[in-house]
Amino acid sequence: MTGTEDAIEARMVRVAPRASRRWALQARLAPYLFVAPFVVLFCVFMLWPMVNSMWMSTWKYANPRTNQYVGAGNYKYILTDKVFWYAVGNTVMFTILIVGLQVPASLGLAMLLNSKRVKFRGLFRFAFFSSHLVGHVFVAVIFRLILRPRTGLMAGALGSIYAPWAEINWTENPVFGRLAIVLAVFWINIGWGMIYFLAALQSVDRELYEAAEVDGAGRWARFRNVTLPSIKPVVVFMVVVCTIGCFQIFELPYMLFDNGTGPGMAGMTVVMYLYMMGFEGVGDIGAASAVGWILACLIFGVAMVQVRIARGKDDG
Amino acid sequence: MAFHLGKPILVMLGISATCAAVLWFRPAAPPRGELLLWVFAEAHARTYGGEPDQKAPSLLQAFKEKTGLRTDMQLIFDRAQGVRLISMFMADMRGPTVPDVVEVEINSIGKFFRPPVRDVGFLPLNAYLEQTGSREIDSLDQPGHEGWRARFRGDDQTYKHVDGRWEPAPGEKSDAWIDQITRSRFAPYTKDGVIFGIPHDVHPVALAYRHDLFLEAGIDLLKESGDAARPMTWPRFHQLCLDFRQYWAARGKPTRYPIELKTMGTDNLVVMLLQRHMNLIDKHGRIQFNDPGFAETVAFYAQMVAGDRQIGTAPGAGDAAIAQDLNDGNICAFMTADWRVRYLKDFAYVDRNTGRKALEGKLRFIPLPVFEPGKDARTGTWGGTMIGIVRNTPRPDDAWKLIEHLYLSDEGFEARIRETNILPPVVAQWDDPRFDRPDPFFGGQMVDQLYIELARELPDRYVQPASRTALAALNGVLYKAVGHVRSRGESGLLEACRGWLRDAAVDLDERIKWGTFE
Repeated sequence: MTGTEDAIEARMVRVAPRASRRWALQARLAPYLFVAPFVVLFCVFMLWPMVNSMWMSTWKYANPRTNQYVGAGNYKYILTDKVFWYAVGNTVMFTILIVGLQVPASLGLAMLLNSKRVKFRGLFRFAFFSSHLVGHVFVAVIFRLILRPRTGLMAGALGSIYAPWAEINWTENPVFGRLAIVLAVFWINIGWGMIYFLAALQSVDRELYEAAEVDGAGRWARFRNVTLPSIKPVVVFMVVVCTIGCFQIFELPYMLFDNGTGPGMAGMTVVMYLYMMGFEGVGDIGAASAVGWILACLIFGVAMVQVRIARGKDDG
Repeated sequence: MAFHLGKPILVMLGISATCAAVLWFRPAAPPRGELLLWVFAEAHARTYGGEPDQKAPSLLQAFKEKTGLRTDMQLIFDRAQGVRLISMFMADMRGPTVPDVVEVEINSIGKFFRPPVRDVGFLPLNAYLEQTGSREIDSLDQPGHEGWRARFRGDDQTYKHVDGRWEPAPGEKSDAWIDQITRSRFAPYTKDGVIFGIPHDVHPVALAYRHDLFLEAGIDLLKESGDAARPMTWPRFHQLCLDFRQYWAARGKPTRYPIELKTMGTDNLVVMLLQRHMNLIDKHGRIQFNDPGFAETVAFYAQMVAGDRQIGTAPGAGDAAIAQDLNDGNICAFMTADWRVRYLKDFAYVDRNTGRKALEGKLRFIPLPVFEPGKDARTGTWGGTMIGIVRNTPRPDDAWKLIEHLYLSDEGFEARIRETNILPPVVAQWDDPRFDRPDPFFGGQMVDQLYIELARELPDRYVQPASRTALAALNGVLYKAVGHVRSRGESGLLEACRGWLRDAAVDLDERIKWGTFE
């Protein structure tokens, strides 16, 4: 061994532990570094606003100089406000109607457009899905024009059946007003639901259908015993997501009815109530924050119940 | 070419890189002008910024030439503007994104007045109004109105207009802006005597109607409306409208309605209440729902929009639908504030044969009917805009100069006449000869003069922080009243209305107490 080799070896002996220490440190830190961008963004744009809004919900607030700590006062007021419960009732009604209509209709449409007997399936799939690409505000404006008395498309169609029906003012009648919201949401979302169900239907194992057919199962039996159990996770997902979406309805009634809440407060939803508290009627961001937290709890509770029911049935 | 992550990722990377390059190299936005102005109405933006093909300098360009101050104007939809503005006030924001001068719609203003006067997000304007805008005259022969005080440029002395002449008034100050603007229009923008906004308008309301169709039915509303001393009453008008409906129903037009009245919506009802000098909440913050006249008005209104004696119906959404209903004769009269007059003209159909507007010569205007002649006003007020200075502006004096230029100057008046023809709040400008011209579209009627006549008897309208909530409460009562008329007729309606209003007042009072700071 020459002197040079000795020197290199001696250096390696010194360097190796340092390199391995660095490597070990890197290996330990790497996961944190990888998730750091997300954590930072999450903390700045989600966690901090959430904590802040929780804190604000305990204040009566107009601006930094005009505010008052009220503890649970906002929650107490909101939970005893009959308008809030009216809004909850309205929202629940919209949810039941929309989920009840949309999930089966989307599934039916998906089954139809999954059938090889239907021509131009791609075109129809796109056509039905395209309504989901339109913003809620635009849809509300379109529906306002369609539903105008005397001069709207709907008035023209109904008036041709029975003349006085052309006089129906959908946005001035609570029953028709609610129906208009349900129809508009249904129109927006049916294609979106269809896409999920299509994907689910296409992943069902063909062999299961063949086996069922061999066992003599009819169409309904195949649907009930093969299709539905296979796509159940998607059905549960659709019900939960639709429910969450329905609990957040706001733009449609707000734009559809000129004064925001509509005739007899037919368009008053929980988010509308939140908006009124924060920006329109009262102008108190503290109270609005409290409504937001109550809404979050409501949605969480309902979603949990739905998932629990679905799981319960599964276990059974 | 192979890319180990696959083509879709490659395409996405390409798109991202292109977007990044575009963003990086896009031209920088010009620096903010000295002043930032927010407006919510397109017509106002046109008035200040000029038409795209306008050759003469716009109001804002003229302001820059006069003062050297560049003003950036942003047109923001009123609801969006309301949210942004209240968020800025809540956060006490400062900086280049915060506007210096803002126009706010009358129905949106209440929420900004929730904090105590010292913490309202707008700057108090009393001092500016009292110290600027001195009325001046060039000659003692110049016309004036009783009680006006002006500085005569000839001798720099103050003169007062008494018995049709200018008389010396030593020791008195000439009128400032506060004396020259319609007093009643400061009311909505005032809190505890502190003025936060300058009114853009007066917005008196008249009744525009299809003169031809009413005449054909044998009803001459011009004659019926009489003179100021003997105005037509609402019950009389109601009866005439029932006759109108009967006449047209017999001729195969059962859905021809005499008047636009919303079934669910309080715009028209509020105008009628204002005629009786009733606000939802008065200037002292007292709820007026329990005033006996309030229930009478709601009950009367409900039986005009529902039941056997219905005369009114609602048009579709949007001003084009209103004009269409008027054109087609589906709805034959409209409560019309001065801002609506131009819509009636602009949206009127053009007759293909003659090339003229089909409604030309068919419309007339009358003052609103009243409930109690001699006591009620023949007009109400509908809509409105104020302009205010944001408290956090670093340039309050320049902002005031801009307000004077846009709202109170002669140039501002000229632009207003050209674009909107809305009656200005400065009373002296009502003497302009252009308001005396007969309008051929309205059969030669001097419509502007009628609006000026009505503006002189304009009732006060107050806006409070809870006004929006009060409107919603009134809407709820009206909904119940209309339901009552539909299901049970008019029997017991008045008593029921009193009960609902009593309950609504109690509920509203609790809400006001909860929303008020101790």
